[in-house]
Amino acid sequence: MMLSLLLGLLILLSVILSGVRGWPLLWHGGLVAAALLAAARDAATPVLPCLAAVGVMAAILPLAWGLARLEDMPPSARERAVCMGGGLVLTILAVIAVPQGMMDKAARLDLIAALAVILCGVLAAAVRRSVVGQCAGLACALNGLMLLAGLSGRGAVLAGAALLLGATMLVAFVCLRRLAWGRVAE
Amino acid sequence: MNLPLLLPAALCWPFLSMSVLAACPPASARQAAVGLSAIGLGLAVLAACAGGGWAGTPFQVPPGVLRVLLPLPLLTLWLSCALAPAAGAPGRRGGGALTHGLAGGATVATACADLLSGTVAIGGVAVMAALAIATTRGAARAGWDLFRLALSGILLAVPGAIVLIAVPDGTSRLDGLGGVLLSVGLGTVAGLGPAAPVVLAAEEYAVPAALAPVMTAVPVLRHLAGVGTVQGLAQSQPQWDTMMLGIATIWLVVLPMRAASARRRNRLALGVLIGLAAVAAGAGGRAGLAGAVALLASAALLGPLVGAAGSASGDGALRYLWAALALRPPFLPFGGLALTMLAVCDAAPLLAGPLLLALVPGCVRAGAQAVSVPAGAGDAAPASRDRLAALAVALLLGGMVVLVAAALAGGPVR
Repeated sequence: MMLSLLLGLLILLSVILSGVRGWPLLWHGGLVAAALLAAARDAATPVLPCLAAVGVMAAILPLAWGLARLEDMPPSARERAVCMGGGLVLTILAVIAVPQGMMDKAARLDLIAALAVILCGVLAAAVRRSVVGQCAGLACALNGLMLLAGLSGRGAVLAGAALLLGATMLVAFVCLRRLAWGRVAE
Repeated sequence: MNLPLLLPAALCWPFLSMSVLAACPPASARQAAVGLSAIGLGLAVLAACAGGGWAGTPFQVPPGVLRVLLPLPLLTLWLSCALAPAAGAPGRRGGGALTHGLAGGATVATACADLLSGTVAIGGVAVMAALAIATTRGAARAGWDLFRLALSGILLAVPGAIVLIAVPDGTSRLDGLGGVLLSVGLGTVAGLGPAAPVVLAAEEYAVPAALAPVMTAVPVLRHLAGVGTVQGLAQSQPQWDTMMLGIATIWLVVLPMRAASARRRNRLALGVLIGLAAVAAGAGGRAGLAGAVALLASAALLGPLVGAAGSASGDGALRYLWAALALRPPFLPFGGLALTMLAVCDAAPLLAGPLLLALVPGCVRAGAQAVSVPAGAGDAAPASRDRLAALAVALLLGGMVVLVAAALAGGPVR
């Protein structure tokens, strides 16, 4: 019961936040840190995941702040509608596509949540105009991938997804700085 | 023949040559690039001939006809190094080294036997190409768009691969979901389907990015063609999603072709070849695989020619390129097209005889034309380029003959 509530909350927040302005990055950074802390609780040596969580937060907070300063293009009503409506439709499709009875209930819920989060994030990255919004969508999809990797017990994919998240933020930052410079030079 | 060190050497060589090139003095960089890529190509060809795998890693020479795909990225690399203008701009060195890295990544991704590791390797190649554009002056927005596209594709393809591997039997709905996610994601990375215009337009910015469609399409189609065996289905089972992706690519690329400039038209024709290869790979069967390999080989041969045609004055290379891209009878693209038709239609063997009869006279005529025209031009500078173009055309011809013969030799095609 508790698990389904949590996963539903995760899907709902990811769908809603994919259409909103500045908050999704912080939300996804917090999710990464929470995942790493949860891994630390299970692991034999909790120091490394804890340090990684602190590192993720320390990297994401200034980057999110800088991204918000560099480009501030609020989502239009159309983008917001497409993101939320499309996200809901994709979630329903994910529920239909994952069959009942093949696995236990918790695994099915996990799989649905991961697929919905990934699809919503990719949709947001495709629809949004502002680079900050696209970056947030990609971060959202990476979170879904981390959930899926943790579900299937692939530690390497989990670490790779966390690394990719950092790379995404850095590339977005570099591109945006160049774009902002170009605008100043004009 | 069993040489256990051949495949590791072939896979590691491009990265070694990349680091050598980065440290090479600019005066000798071009000769070094040509020589190093030639050695890499030789190693890859030997490894593909020898077969086998690298013990302890997921790397293995692809089975069957697909093993031809292993040296293709390095062939593209060698051609582009040989066709590059002698006096490069100062910014070209980093681009040249990065091109070697791209080719190495594509070779590694082609050699992955496992679906998941192959997907991750393809993602690395695509993200590297996108980063090369993003750091080019004035192309930050295009680079970011390409990066976003590649990352989205990988984010869809990795869950697809995980689901496909985790589900034991090949019949359930979950399995279909994994297949669709995988093919859509990998197609997005390789510039198939709706992603084709973005990927083909981004090529004008940086040297490595000009070859990126070929470098990503080779491993992507190798893995999409091998999905049938992962699922435990018969090899001849058609993969409808891959076929639909290829057809969408062809439409999206052909429609803007009429209004495009000559150079852009060549790029779009490259997209048509890759789309046709996707259709052939999706159709499956012996003829489909052979057709996909033939079309990818022609794309790998013609990709560097497209890049070189714009940099120099119009010469023999451009003429050969146009003759080859026009899908006229004597060339490999046409052979691939014919094999694709064979794979898609069920009445395949009936078409083979007339096609071969039509091929031979056209072959002789167009070959004579192509040789006589550049001799009349009397231009001293592009002589070496003409020789290379003649070599490329000879390779196209020989490859087509071998592939058609191989596909028709073994009894029923499907």
